[in-house]
Amino acid sequence: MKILNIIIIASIISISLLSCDKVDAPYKEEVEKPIDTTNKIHKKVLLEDFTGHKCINCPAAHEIGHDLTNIYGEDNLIIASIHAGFYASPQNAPFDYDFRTVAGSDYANFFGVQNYPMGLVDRINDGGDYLLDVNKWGSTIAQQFNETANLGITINPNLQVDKLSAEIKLQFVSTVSKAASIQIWIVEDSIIKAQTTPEGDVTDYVHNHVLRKAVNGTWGENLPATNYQNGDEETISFSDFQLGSDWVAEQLSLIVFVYDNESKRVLQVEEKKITN
Amino acid sequence: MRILAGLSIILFLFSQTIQAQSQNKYGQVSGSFQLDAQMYQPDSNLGITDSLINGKTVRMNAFGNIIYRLGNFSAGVRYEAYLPPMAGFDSRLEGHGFANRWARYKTGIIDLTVGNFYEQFGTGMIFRAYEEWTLGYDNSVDGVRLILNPMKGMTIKGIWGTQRYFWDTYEKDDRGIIRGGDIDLFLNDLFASMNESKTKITLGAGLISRYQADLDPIYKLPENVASWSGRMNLSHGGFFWLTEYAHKINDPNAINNYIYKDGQGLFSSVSYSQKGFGLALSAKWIDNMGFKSDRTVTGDALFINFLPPNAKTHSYSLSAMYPYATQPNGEAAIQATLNYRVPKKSKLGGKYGMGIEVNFSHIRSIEKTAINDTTAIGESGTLGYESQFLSIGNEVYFQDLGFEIDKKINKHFKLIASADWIKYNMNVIEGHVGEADVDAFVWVTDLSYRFKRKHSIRWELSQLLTKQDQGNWLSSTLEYNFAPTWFFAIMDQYNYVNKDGQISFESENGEVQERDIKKLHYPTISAGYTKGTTRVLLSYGRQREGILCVGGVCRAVPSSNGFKITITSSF
Repeated sequence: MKILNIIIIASIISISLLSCDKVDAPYKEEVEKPIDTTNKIHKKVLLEDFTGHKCINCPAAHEIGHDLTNIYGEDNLIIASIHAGFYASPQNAPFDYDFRTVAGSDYANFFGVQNYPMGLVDRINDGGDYLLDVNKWGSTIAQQFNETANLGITINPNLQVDKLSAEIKLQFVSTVSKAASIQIWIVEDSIIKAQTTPEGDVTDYVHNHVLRKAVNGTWGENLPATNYQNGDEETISFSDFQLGSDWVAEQLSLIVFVYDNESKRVLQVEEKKITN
Repeated sequence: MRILAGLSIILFLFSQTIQAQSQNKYGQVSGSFQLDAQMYQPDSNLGITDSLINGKTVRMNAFGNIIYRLGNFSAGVRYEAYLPPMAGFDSRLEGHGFANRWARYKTGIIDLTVGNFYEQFGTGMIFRAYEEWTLGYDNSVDGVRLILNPMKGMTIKGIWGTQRYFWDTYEKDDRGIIRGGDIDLFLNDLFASMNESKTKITLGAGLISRYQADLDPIYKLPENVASWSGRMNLSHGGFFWLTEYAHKINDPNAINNYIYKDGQGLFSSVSYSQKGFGLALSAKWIDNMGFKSDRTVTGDALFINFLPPNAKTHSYSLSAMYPYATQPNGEAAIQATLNYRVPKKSKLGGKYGMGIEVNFSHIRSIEKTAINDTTAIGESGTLGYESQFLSIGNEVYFQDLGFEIDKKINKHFKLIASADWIKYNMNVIEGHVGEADVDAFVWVTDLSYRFKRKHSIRWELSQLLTKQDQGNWLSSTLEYNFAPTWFFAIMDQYNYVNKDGQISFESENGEVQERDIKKLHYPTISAGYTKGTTRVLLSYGRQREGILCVGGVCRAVPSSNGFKITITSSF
């Protein structure tokens, strides 16, 4: 009887430890996550997806990026697909196209990307490591949307034939008292080229958010000041940027972000198509 | 080199000093440490360049355990240093500090540990916290462990904590919290009627649960995931039977591609032994049993459970070239090992007898069927697939049929010879899509000659024959032992591939392609010195690229060239 009592008590203790959550279908969240837009200027999030056309697991990461933009809206979650490393190297047809960029390779080297797919979310540094496995993108992005924006970015592009100019306005809504840089990228959607997938090679894969060029260099340019207060504004512009010969203007967008020079953390990001 | 030599001397002297101080009336201090360091040098034939070494020409892994005991109380720390980690170890290990610290109070009834601890429930199918230095793996739990022995024959365990993740200290929601309990009942002690029985029975059951917040915006994730198991050990004379069944509720994670199917597994092992004869049979069937403290983590970290391997662990280098790595998403495995000692003075056994071992392992997929016409097997955000308990699939993952004999020929000579036929599914085991399955045959002869009481020479010759991967290998080692202090060895592994130096394989699109493999020698010289509990091992030469597995958990070992030192000691 004594044994039985002990077993019963032990079982009750064990069962009390054993919490189980049984989830029923549908297993995916079906609602969009509302972004707090109480303030006119709210935090937007940058996802840098390091990828390659011969990377067999990369299409799954593209799909996760797509799912996340459906949840948060493509105006709020801004994705750049950065083709770099071994899997992005041009090979025999149909993998002979070179998606790589100087800036993309520089980023892959600087952040230590060795495995693909791999991501950076707002370039936040978690315990000394910037890199995020694709399984951590969702939760990290969710946390970043809880952050408060320091500034808003407005992009006004002006395309003349194949030369692009733009005026970029920064509107600060809280203090930024550290050296920061502005980075301007041009990205392209809907590029039809080959991609390796788990189901085999797909020759007409649709590549989106492809980084084409860092307009103002790999690490952008320093903001004119190192101390901005709520209400301050800054204007940065560039002109006569020559588009690539095989780029399609209607598919091009400018991504602009401001980041902390020391930590590399992205303070705010914005994207705008270069044509209406 | 001078730094390493100096460090070795300091560590050696330190061990001697501690030994002298280790005991007094205020308690007892004991400990152990190991240092592995390697100096890397460029080798164009191995593709190792200065830029790859990147200035980190010397790398070191080291640990030291210090344990203090006084009566029922004990406490300890484990210091580790990876400055930087040796090539092939996870770069996240870089750093140094006290990785573990703990205090324990143990009496006959209660055994309480706070801090870091290692523990296992049953075979480990639902929970095993352990450390494996050669893999750079440590999933110790930082928390509380309570073990109760309320009566003879009953052991109850409870654990609660978080698992080690390299050097990351636990922060809210950055990984899961695990908690669980386990009970062991030795019926022969619990029931008087069984006290004298020759049949010994132990029943056990365990439960473990992980809490991890759902921060993911895509999936509806279970925040509490539980796994339980029931087991039985039965023995009668030389007969022994161990079996355990484990079940895990929906646990969408990075290993199973975020599917919501329950997992389950069965492990059973039967053995019989008597003088000169032993037979062991084991079987394992697992389905979706990968279980980690952090559902987003892949690779060798944060495993809550351990899935016992059903493949022989080879000790000879070429035999161990294609080791099996457990596939937590599903595998069906059997293993049989027969040991027989041919009696002395028999026709086959000769004057000294002869040992014979036959081993057979066969591991393959389990059968998975789609849940409907529109959902691919394993598709994320679905149930994943359906599978019948104990179903067996068509794809062979691994097979090893091996024979080994050991025979003392006369009072000077001893021979060990083995032969293994190995099938190795590189696509599944290493994740190299498009690689051909490896069919390899490996033979080994190991001849020892003792010519004085303390002096012996050992010569090992082995060959691996395969048409796949890197082709054929020949390996030879000559070792001189001056027991128990010194040994010197010279070894060469030669990857002679085949006559043409080309390997044919079928690419993903079905085309046959040729791959050129460079014929290379991997020579190494080594020497070892042992004094008491301290051992120093020095080696210089090339190390081939490969996979190192311990208990079905593996890490890739990159090729390297350089000088290596290993120092181990305990006090």
